[in-house]
Amino acid sequence: MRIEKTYRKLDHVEEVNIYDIKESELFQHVPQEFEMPFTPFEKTLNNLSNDLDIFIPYNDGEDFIVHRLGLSALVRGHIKQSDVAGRLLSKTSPGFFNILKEPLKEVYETRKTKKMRFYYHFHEKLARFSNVKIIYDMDKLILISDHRDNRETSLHVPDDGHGEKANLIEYFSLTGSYYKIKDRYTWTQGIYNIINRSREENDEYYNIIFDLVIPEDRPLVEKMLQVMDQKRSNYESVVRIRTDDGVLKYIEISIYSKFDENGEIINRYGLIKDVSTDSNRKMTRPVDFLLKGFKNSKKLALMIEPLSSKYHEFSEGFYNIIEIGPNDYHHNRKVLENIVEEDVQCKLKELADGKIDELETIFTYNVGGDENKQKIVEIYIERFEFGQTHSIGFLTDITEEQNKQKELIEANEHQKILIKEVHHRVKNNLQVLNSFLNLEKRAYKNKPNVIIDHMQSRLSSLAILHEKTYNTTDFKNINLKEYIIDQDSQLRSLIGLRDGIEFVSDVDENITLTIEVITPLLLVIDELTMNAIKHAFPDKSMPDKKIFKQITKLNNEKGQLILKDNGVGIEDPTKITKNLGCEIIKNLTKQLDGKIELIQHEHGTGYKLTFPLDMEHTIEG
Amino acid sequence: MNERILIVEDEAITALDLKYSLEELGYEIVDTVDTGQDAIDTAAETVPDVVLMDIKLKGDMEGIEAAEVISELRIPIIYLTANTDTDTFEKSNVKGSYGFVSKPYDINKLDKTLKITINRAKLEEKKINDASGFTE
Repeated sequence: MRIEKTYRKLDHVEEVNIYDIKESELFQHVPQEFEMPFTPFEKTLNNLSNDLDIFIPYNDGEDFIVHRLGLSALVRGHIKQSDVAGRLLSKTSPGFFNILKEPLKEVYETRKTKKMRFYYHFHEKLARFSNVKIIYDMDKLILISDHRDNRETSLHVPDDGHGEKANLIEYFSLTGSYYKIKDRYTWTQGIYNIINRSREENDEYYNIIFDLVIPEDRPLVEKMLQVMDQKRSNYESVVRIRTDDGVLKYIEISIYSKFDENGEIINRYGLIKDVSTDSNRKMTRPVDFLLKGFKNSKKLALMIEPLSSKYHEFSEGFYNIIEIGPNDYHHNRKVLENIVEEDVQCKLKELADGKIDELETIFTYNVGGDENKQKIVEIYIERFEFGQTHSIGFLTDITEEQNKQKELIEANEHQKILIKEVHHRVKNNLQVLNSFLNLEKRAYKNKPNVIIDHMQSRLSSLAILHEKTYNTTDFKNINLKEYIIDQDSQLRSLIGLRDGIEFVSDVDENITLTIEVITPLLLVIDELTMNAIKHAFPDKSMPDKKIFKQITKLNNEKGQLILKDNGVGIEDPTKITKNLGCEIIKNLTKQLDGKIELIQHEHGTGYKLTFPLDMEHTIEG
Repeated sequence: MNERILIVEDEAITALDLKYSLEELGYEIVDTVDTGQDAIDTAAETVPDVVLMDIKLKGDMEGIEAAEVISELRIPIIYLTANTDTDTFEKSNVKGSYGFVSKPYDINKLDKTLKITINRAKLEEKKINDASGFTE
C-alpha cells in the first residue's frame, strides 16, 4: 500500500491518495480485548445515508479502539459489528490504521474537526473515493464519510456555507460553473441538471460538457479552446450538446482564464447556461418548477441570480409586486428610484456593489412612481461569492398585513381611550352623587327619608346610563327614548306604586344625544319629577295623579322637554327660587346650555326646557 | 381677608357642592365657570388666590391648556379631576400647578391642599418681590 497526501486549497480539504491497498490489510480477525458500551440508535445509524465510524482513543491517541464501524465498511469486509467492536484499530485493520492514525491523532489532540478526501486507486485506476469529516466528541472520535456506492453521491460539495448556498440554488438551476485547475475539473450541481445525469466518480478528469457537443459544433469548441490558449481571458459561444439520454440542448458557454506573468494558464473556469428554453425549444427546467411554485403568488416573489445579473430569474410575483411586466422590466436601477426610503435605496446599491452581503428590511414602494399608490414590501436578499457573485432573495408584498396591523393598533388604542373614558365617567358620576349627597345633607338635615328618596332616584338614573352604555362604544349617538322608558320604569317602581302616580312619556324616537347632553338632561328630568311628586300632590288621596313628559325635536340643533303634572299648581312662583331642587335644576340647565321656563296651565304645573342636541366637549383630560 | 377661589368645573352639581363646601370652610368663591376660555377671562379679571381646575371641560379647551395661560398670571392652580392616570398627571404637572386632587374628593384633604398652596404661593411671591426690591 502506498499513501500520497496533497492539500487542496480550493475546498480546504486534505486529500489522500491510497494506491494498491490489499484486502488483508483492511480486516483481520483478532479476539475482542475491550468491552464496548451499547450504542444507542444502532439501527438508525445503519440507515443513515452517511457512514458513521466511532473510535475511542487508546494509549493517549497512539492507537484507537473500534467502537463501531459504518455499514459500508462492514459490507466491504464481509464482517459484522461484533467482529470489529472492542478491537484495536491497528490490529483489526492495519490498512485503515495506516491511513487514519495521523488524522485521528490530530483531531484528538487539537479537538478541531478535520475534512479529508480519500481516493482509492487499484492498478493506477481510481476505483472509489470518499469525503470524510472527523469530529472529536465526548472523548470519542467520530468519522463521518459519504462513501456509498450511490451515483448521487456528492463528489464536490464544499462544506463551507457559500458552497451549500450555491448548490441550493443550482439544485434548481440550469446554470452551472466549472473550474479547471491543474487538469482537474470541479463541476457544480447546475451542470448535472443540464446534462441530465448525476455525478460520476471520474467526472473531474474530463470536460463532461465538451464531450457531449454534437459533431457539427465540435469545430466551435476547438476554436474556442484555441483562442483561449492564446492569452485571451474570456470567450463566449453557444453550442449544441446531446445528453446521454439523447436530448439535444443549446448551451451558452463563457470561459474565463487567468494567466501568470509568463503567459501560463493558472486556472480556467467556465459558466454554462442551458439556453434551450430561450431558443423556444421544448424543455423542462428544474428552476421552472421552483419559479412555477411562485407563479400564482401575487405577493411573494423569488429572485435568483445564479451567476450574473444577465441571467436573473424572477418569479411572476416580482412583476406583480413592482407592477411592471417582464417585457418592460430592465435590470436597471429605475425600480430602485420608486423606493421611498433613501436608506433602503443606498443599502440595495451597496449590496449590488458588494459592500454588504445581505439585506433584510421593509420599504415603501411607489407603484409607477406614484406617491398615491404605495405598497409596503419586505425584502430579504443575500449575496455571496462562489466563483461568481450570486444572490438569492424573496420579495413579499405585506401592504395588506401592515394595514391590518395598523388597524389593530388603532382599534387597540381606541379601546384604551374608551376604557379610560369609562373610568373617568364612573369616577365623575361618583363625585356627582357625592356632591348631591352633600347638598341634600345641607338642605334636609332632619329629613333622612327625603334624602334617601332623592338619592335613590338619582342613583337609578345614573345606573341606567352606565347600564345602557356598558355594551356600546358609541358615546355620541345615544337614543333618548330607550333611556326615558327605563327611567319611567324605575320611577314607577320606586315612587309610582307607593304614591299612586302614573308616569306618561312621549319621546321622539329619532332623538339621539351625546353622553354629555343626556347625563344632565336625565338629572334635570329627575329633579323636575321629584319636585312634582313633592309639591303637586299634597293630598295623597287625589285620583288620577299623572306626571307627563314630552320630548320633541324643535330643529336639527335643538330639542324641547315639556314636563307637567295634573296637581295643585304653584300659588307663588317667586318662592321656587329658594328651593334646592330648583337651584339644582338651574345649574344643570346651565351645564346643558339650555333654557328653562315655568308653564302655568289650568291643572297643575309645567316646565319647558329647550336644550342643544349636541354639545362640544373635551374628550380626554 | 378670606382666600379667594375660582372654581372651574363642568359638572354643575359638583361645582355647586364645591361652592357651598368651600364657603362653609371660609373661602370666598369668586366665580364658578365651566369652560377654559371663561376660566382664563375670569382669572384675569378677579385674580383669585387659587384656581381649582377640572381637566375635562365644556368646549374644546382642556383644563391643562387653560391652566398654562393662567399660570402666566402667577396664579396657583390645583387640579381637581377624575382622570388620575399617569399620562394626565404628567401632562398636568407643568408650571403653575401646585396640586392634584382626585375625584371623588375628600373636602378635608382639599382644604389642606388649598391652604398649603396658598401659603406656598405667598412665600414664592415674597421671594420674587424681595429679589426685585419691591415692597408692599
